[in-house]
Amino acid sequence: MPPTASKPLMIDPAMLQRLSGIEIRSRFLVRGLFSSRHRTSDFGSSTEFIEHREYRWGDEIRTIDWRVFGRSDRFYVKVHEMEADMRVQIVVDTSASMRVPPPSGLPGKLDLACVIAGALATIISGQQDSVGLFMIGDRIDAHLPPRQGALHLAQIFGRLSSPPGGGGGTFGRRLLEAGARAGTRGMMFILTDALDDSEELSSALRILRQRTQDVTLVRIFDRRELEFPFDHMTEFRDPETGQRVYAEPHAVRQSYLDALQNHRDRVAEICRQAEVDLLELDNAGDVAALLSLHMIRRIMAGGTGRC
Amino acid sequence: MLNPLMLFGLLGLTLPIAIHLINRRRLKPEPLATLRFVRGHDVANVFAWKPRDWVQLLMRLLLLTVFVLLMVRMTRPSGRPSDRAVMLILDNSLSMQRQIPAGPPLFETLRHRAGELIDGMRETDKAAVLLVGDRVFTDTGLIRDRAVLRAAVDGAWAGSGGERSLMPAIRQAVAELRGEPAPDRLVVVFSDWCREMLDGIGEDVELRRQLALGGVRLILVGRPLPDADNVGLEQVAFHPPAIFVGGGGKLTAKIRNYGKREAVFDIGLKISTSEGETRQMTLGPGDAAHVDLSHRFVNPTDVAVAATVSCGDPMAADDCFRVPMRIRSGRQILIVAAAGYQSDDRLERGASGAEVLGYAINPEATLGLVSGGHTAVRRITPAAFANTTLSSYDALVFYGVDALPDPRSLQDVYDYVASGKGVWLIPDGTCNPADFNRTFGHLMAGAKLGVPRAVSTAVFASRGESDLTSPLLLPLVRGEWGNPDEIPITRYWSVQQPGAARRALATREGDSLAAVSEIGRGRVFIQFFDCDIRSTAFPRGTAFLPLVQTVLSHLTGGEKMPDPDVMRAGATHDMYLPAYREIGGEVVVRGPSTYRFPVDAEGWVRISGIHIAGNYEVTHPAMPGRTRILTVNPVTGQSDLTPSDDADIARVFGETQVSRIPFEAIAGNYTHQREVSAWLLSLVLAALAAEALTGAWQARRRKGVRA
Repeated sequence: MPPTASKPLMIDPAMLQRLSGIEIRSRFLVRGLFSSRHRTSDFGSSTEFIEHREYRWGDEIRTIDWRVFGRSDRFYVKVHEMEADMRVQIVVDTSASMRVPPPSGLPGKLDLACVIAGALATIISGQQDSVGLFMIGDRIDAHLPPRQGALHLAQIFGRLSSPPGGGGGTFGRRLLEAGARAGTRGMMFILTDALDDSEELSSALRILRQRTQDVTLVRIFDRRELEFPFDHMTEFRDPETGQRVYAEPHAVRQSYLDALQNHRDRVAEICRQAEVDLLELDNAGDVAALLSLHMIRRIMAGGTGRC
Repeated sequence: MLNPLMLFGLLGLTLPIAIHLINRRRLKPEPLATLRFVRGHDVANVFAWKPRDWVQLLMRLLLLTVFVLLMVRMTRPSGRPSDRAVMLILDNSLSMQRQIPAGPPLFETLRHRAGELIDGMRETDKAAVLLVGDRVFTDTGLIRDRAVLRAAVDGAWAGSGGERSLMPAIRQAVAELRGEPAPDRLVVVFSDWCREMLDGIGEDVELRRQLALGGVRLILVGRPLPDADNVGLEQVAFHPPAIFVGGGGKLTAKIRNYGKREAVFDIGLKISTSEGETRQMTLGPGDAAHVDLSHRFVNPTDVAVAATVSCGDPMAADDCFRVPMRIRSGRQILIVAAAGYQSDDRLERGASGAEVLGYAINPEATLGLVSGGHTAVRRITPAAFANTTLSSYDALVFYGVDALPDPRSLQDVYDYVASGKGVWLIPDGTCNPADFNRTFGHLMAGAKLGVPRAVSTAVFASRGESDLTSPLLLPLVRGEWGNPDEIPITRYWSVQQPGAARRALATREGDSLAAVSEIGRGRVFIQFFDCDIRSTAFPRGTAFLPLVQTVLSHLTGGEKMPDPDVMRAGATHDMYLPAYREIGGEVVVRGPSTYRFPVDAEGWVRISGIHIAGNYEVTHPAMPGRTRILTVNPVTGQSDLTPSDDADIARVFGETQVSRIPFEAIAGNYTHQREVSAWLLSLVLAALAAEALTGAWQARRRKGVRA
């Protein structure tokens, strides 16, 4: 299932089956065009009553609470909470670091990201929510604004089957650009390895949060990145910069793992500070189980209710 | 170990060690999402000081070691004599001609020994014969043909030169033998090894290095010879180098006693086959002396003169020094003077100016000098001039002549001068200046004789050189021939017009006393005072005779003495043979050996490459009647027979691989060794196979680990 080849994106039906029971909801208020089941910051016609207030010119006549008028001879209207559909943006990092060839038998990081993105898009679309897609390499290589419908979903799958992009190293800045296009009050899934400069990523996540986006950072690792299983003298090559480094794995393994752990901790801290949901995956793990678990944990934790 | 230099190849063992340490071999680029966490382990860390693949490394080290041992050409003791490669170097320098006590000359003895060595060679042995002195005269190259080698030894000869090429030849032989496969490689040098020779060579660092590394042994044949006394001629010269028939010459010889005892000996002259003057001498040890010997040459042909020493020393080759003597025909001078001078009874007989001049022109007759020019003087009157053949005379002297009866004589004189001869004009008191100018004006380059000046107080020649435009009589002005202030002149001729003639002598008052002019290739000397003792006291002074001889030399072409045709063995000598100038081709030089040398367009012949002393005749096939003599003499620096000791040998050659042994001991210096190359080759192949197998096993193991 190499994403670089022009083949249709194949999502394991079993995986979809395992994810089917999960409802993706924002932890915060959202804003949507269509009436749906997500709480918004607007007042509308849902069943959730908020308060009575005096009638003002322009209010709909049907909102007047005639019972109160009968008792008090004054016009009061009932204010209900607005429920709308949710606009979900899926951001896929397609930089060169995501395209590192995986160990045999395991999917690549970009493959995995595309599969997760496809699964999320399917689920979100099934919830009658709008789903959009950003594909970011060293620039925004593809952008599909959030829409509903099977045709739109097909377009998303078409892009995920052959993800454009390359380069890298500027994911934080490109993410800011994507956030500006995404607007406010929505949900955003960011599928990346987040190996770039953590400060840029931190800045981007904070601003996204300020734009009242419910951001979930899905951090995808290659198993070799986590374990560093090399045993002979190796010439390591950075796919983004082309830099080459010769190293004796025995000599550098521990320092590498320590540095990586520090970086993971730093990203986790950034996410915590920016109220970003973080999910770390690797290509050797059970993605469906982890996703399910994460979503369940989100539901159990509940939203803050804040804007 | 025949090629120990190759042991440096063991340094190559560091290569596989480095490869296994560096561990960069066949590194496959491994993409990693980010290298930020591998920071600090970049290219500098390519050296992983942790050897891997121990087995393969050991195999490679073994392979390299065995290969180096193969290159080193290790040997093992064997029961049979080894194959030999022997280079025989025969020194043919002058000192090899010394006589050894109760035996033949040293060179003959050693040549005989070299022949024996060649006769003892086996079929598989290779040898080369080099005859070396100042250059390599014979080099057979390393061959197995004993007949050719034997012929080279039989044809070897002792020269009269030095041994400039001996050390280069030894060095070359050692270098050449280093590449030979034979286990037994010897450079055998036959020389006398005198201390003087080794002092001249000095320490040879390059040879010592080659001997130390090359596995070639250097054998210096010969026991130290007994110390011997020797008297040698260092330098001999004849003065003048060319002489007129009947003239005498002085030979100066520098002779030195090289021995440690006083030497009593005879030194004498040998002219061709006849004996000349002989003198007995005594010289202390190390002393040198200059000896003068004279001889008068009456035979008109060139002759080789030899100075010889008779003392019975063992080195006869430096007891003889040959010098060629060129004999020139006599000089003919014609004096034209008025007849009255022959019977002037007012003067003492022979004291008239023309007579005084005639005596001065031929001084050996008048003064009985041993050396100098042999000159014939003929005296005629102007009336007889027209009937005289001028071409047989080298110079004409017109004394007191202001007119020639036959007008054609004027043109004859002019042509005579223009053809390269000389005329000396001396007007005396009887001359009419107008007639003189008319008769000889065309010879005086515009100068004209004025009125005669008879002064009561004598005038003297000026010492100032600034007024003189000809340097001919500068020795007179400078007082080299005597004090010019003692030459009073009371009568002389003024100069009406100086013309283009150059002033050669002047009075203190500034009047010209002599001038020089040139007509065509000839020269004219005009003397403005006569030689009559009534006019001047000049003929009675010491400067008169040199003046006359100098002027005559000037008029007869300078009489420049040619360089003597004498040279040292092995040197280069340029010989001037104007007679062959137009002929070209080659001259034949015959003597102890025969040579041919080309003649260039100007008649010069460059003689070189003659290494045997002796008398040589130089002839041209086109002119067989004309012969010049060339003498070749031994070189210097070969006469001190002080033997060298082991310290001298060690100083020059070092002590590694060098031995000085008598000839009989050479056989004991052959080795009994065999190369173990076959074993080593097998080991190399085995090590190769083992290395390949180990490599394959390693590769397979690595593949398995990756899988």
